[in-house]
Amino acid sequence: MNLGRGEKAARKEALRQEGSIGDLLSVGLCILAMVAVMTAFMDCVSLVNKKTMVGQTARNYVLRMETVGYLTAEDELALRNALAEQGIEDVSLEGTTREEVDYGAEITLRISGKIGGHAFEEKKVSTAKH
Amino acid sequence: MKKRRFPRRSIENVRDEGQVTPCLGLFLVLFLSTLLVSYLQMEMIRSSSRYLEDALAASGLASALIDVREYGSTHVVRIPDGTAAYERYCGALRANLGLDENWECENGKLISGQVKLENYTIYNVSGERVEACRLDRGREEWFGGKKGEIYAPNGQLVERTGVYGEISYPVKGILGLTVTARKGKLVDIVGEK
Repeated sequence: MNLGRGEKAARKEALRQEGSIGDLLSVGLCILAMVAVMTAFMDCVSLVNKKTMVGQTARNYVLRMETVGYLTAEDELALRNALAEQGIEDVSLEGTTREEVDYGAEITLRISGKIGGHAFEEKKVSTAKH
Repeated sequence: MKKRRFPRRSIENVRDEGQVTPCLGLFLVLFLSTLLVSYLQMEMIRSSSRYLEDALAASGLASALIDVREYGSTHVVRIPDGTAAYERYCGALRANLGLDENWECENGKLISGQVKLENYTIYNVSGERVEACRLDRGREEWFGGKKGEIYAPNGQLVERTGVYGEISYPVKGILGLTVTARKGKLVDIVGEK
C-alpha cells in the first residue's frame, strides 16, 4: 500500500512518545551522580589505605632505630625509597633522631609529606635499646 | 433541594508521565551513597584500630626498659622501676597518638574525644614465678602467681616479662553517634639467645 508523504510524516509523529528525552536525561544524571559518588569513595579509601601503609612502614623503621639508637643513613635511604614506592611526595624526616643516643633515651621518627596532595605527619616515639 | 452533581474526573488525566524513573534513580543514588559512606566509616574504624594497636605496641616497648646489669649477670629480663616505666608509657602514648595536654586528639578524625589510660600493668617473669604490678596515677597494686596461671586483661597468657596497656577512647560513627571503644595490647620482651 502506498502512503503519501504527508501521511507518512503523520504516522511518524504519532509513533513518537512524549517525555523520552526527559527520561533519558534523568537516567544520565543518575548515572553521572553514581559515578561521582563512586570516584569520591575510591579516592577516600585509597587515601586511608596509603596512610595506614605509611604507619606500618614507620613502625618497622622505629623498631630498627630502637636496636641501633638512631636512624642510620642506609635506613634513611631505604625509608625514603619505601615511601616513594607508596606514592608519598615531598617527604621530610625533620625532627628524626639521627645521632646515636644512650640506652633508654628517647628516639623519634617523624615523617611528613603529601599523600595525593594532602599533607600529613606521622610521628613515632620509643626508647633506644641497643 | 436539588442535589448538586460534580463532573467525574479521570485519574488518568491527572497523572504525569516519567515520574517513576527520576524517583527510582534518586533512590538508587541515595542508597549507594549511604552504602559507600558506611563502608568508608568501617574502613576508617579499621584503620584507626590498626593505628592505635601500633601506638600501643610502640609505647609499651618504649616503657619496657629492663635492668641491664641484672640481665648481664643472671640473664633475667626484669623491669625494675614501675613508676618510671608508667611515666615513659604516658609520654610515648601521647606522642604516638598525637594527643595534647588534655589527652585529646588534635585532628579529632579518628579519635573524637579524650583518651583514657584504663590499665597499665607490668609483668616480671622470673623462672616459674610471675610478679605483676598495676599502676594508676601513682597507685601501685601488686599481685602474682605461677607461670601459666596469669593472664593479661585481654586474655593473653603471660609467658615472658612484658607490659600491658589498655586505653578507652570515643569514636564518632554513622549519624553522629559516639561510642566508646577499648583497646589493649600486651608487649613481650625477649632476651638475646
